[in-house]
Amino acid sequence: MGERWSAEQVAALAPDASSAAAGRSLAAPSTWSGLGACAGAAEHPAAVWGLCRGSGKNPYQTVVDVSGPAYRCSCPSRKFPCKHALGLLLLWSAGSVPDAAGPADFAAEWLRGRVERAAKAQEPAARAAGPVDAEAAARRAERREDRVRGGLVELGRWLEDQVRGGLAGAERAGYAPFEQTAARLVDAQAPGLAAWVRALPGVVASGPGWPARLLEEYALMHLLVRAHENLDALPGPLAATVRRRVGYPVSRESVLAGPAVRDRWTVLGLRDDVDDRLVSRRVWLRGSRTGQDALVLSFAAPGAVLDASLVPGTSVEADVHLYPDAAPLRALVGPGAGAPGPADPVAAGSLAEGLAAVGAALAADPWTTSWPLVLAGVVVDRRADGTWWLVDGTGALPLAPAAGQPWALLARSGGSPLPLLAEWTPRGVVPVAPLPALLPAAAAGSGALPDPVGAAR
Amino acid sequence: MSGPDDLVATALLGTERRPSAADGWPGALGAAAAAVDGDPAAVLLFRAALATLWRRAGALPAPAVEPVPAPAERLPAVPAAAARRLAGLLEDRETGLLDEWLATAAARGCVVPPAVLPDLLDRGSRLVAVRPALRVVAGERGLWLARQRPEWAWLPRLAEQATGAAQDGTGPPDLSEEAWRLGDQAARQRWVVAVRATDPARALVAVEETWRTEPGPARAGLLAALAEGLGPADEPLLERALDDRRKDVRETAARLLAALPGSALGARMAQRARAAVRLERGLLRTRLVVEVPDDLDAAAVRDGVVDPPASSPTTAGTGRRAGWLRQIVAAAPLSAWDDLGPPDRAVATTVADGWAPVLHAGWAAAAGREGSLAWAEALLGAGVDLGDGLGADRVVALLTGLPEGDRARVAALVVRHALGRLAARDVPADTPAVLAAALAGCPRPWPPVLVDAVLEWLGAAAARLPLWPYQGLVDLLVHALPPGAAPRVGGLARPTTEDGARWANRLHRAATTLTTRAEMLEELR
Repeated sequence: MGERWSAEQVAALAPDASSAAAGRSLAAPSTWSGLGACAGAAEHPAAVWGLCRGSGKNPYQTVVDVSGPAYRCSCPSRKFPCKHALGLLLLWSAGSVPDAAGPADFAAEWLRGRVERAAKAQEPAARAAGPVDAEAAARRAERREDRVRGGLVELGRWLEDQVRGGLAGAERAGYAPFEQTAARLVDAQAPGLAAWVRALPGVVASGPGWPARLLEEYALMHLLVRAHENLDALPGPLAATVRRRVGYPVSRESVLAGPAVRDRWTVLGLRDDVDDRLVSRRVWLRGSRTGQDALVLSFAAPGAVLDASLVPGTSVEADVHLYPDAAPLRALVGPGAGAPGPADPVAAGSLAEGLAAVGAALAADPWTTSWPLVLAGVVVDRRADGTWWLVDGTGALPLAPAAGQPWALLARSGGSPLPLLAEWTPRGVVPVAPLPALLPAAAAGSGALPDPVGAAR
Repeated sequence: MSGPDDLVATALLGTERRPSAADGWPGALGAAAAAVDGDPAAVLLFRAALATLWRRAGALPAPAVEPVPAPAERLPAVPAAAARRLAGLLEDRETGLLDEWLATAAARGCVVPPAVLPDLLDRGSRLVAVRPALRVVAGERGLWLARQRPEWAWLPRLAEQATGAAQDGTGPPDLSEEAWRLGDQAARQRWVVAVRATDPARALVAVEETWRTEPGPARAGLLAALAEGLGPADEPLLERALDDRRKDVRETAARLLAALPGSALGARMAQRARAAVRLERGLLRTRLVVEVPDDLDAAAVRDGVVDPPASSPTTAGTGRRAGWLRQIVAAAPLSAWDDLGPPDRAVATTVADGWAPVLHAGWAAAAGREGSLAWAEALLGAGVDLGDGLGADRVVALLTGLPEGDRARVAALVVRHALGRLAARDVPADTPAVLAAALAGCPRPWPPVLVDAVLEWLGAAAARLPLWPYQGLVDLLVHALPPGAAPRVGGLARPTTEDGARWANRLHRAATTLTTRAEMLEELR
């Protein structure tokens, strides 16, 4: 069967920290019976299974298709994967699950079903891959562009109306005007802008100083509308950025077909954001040889499994394809990545150096709202007035409201510098995770900071 | 107002009422802002975009003083495996081992990894019982952290109390006369306790000197402090305190005098007890006959005999006279019953007219006070049926008086007694409470004599009793059984019935937890 996963990879599958810990406590052979693991074959994928003694009368039947991965467990947990699946995988990663010729009876049926469903799923994909009517596609693209253009003209007018009549009314108007505007943008096939407009009531409700923040959003939105009007006059990467922010789709295939950056990529950290409809995972990478930063996004419905191939604190030799952008950051990992190894030391910088990189990114893409700060040593500080800061020799940056109150990070820092991955946002900094090994300070000078605009490539 | 900040004021009012101006903008930004023209609303939005990007792209870190670091730890960190275990225990509350982990780490004198501190401090905010252990394992970092959040203020308070106590008595205690004369009430009590440990007479003299002028509450406290190093020399003061105005002073004095071997109060109580309980030797049998007077005389009241509370469960249905007898027997030295023979014979003697439960309850209290293993064994031993069930409070009274080493033996007797009732299919309703009371007081880990009795009882209970009244007892086992007992616990129940299946699952989980607990303690070694 395929290579066994490391304990870190298994831990990265956990939907939350409590599941990870519960899984660890179940990873004791005495808790399990009927354990087995087998390689993939025609009638079943590579799998691990076992019976876990729980609080009920019957043991839980736990099966993992490690080729997917996909999980099945008879326990009532709505976590996915549940602690039993995690415990089973941890046992397997520790070499405590014996190999078997084929799956146990309780596992076989579900595994066979998986193979059959996978075969069915292949068929329509094969049909869709037939000859494409290029002419029809071009017509469709043209119709879409017309529709977007119309929607954006309307949005531009709406924005100007807002400042003409005064922002003061926004507070009283409530959600309705924003919802209507967003709905028209959805009709106009500009989902990027629609989502942006939908977030505006949150800005209005963000407390004292909201008019200044709302004006910033309106102004940058207006700038995007005007940039779209002049799309043909913009340089290629900036035009791509404008299109993506408006909401034109960029297919994975087209990104993967583009140029790749071959490097040894260190996984700096990840963060999962849970929405009621979607779980999104952000993984930040740094190339050891190129110094390029990259952000890999993946999504899953709540309960479904997020991509766990990138494990924080490891480095992996891989092709990374950056989306065509004026300040390239978002990326996809191409096929043929190597096995994760120990993390390469990372060249980190100061807060001032981080802000300089943010400035360069903003110069290339004025709509940038997130940029990684790879910080060599910052103190997490909670001041007496209840505000939170990151502090180093070059000064202090406030934490964003979205960062909450990171008491655990404050405890780890203990008033001393900590190597930290953080995310810059216009509202402040959001800490992500302490960094893996750092390069010695001498090598981590300002010159080692990546070229954020990517012009060097 | 002018410059970029003026834009917000204009936008709030609306460009219909007030157009934006580009004066007062710095340098190149001003030139760019001035170059925009057209519709006033569009101009405002362009200028706002310029100002926004100017602010965002040009931001510098705010000037700041680097914060003062937390003090270095004075204790070592817990071993890495123990730290991993802690992280798991914090997430998986099911096993209930977290508090034992904390207590063990505290006893070893280690500190936890900083990242778990917020979770632990939150736990301390909810559960007062874990705070003493947390004070140690949170270390300097925990103290530093807790000072920054009002919800965690209990930790710095606790730490200050600990240092404070070390300064005024319980650390190296201050035995000077100044501490006695100038201390507050609590400090003077601590002084008495500390001095009594080395020089009982000196403390007694000090208390006697000021006795007349002490306020009431202070008298009760100082008298209670004399329990340390109690001796015959204390008797005159205690006798005088029996006539005190305050009830709590009188009660304390009576309690101490009863505990003082050879005291006059003990002799008076013995006299009262034997006046009330006579040994009657008949032709066919010897029995104890009880005659309690209808009224309490003033001397008995002075010696601390009181009316029992109207609805006390131990006296329900037996009335005031039963309450008096129980108190008198409890305060009389056990030597008053020497004529009945050794304790097992005394306990086996027939008691007339249903007074046996009252007499036995009094003996149980006296046995607890005197720490008499022989009487405890006699009262709980095989063949003796106490008739009214054992009574959890009497078990507690018996066990707390015994030296720690003897407690497990007596607890084993309690368990064997319960086993006998189970075999006779006559399980009193208070059995769960009695067993819990007997077992909770035993030092851990339990010795084989107690382990064997408990496992035998569990095996019988799993076959015949429902699980739910004994859940708490099983939880207790997990913390008290030696880790080697895990396989025996796991195999005790047979899942042939629904109740049996519940027991089997619960005991299997207990066995797993026992194994985990053994690993956990090994990691903290």
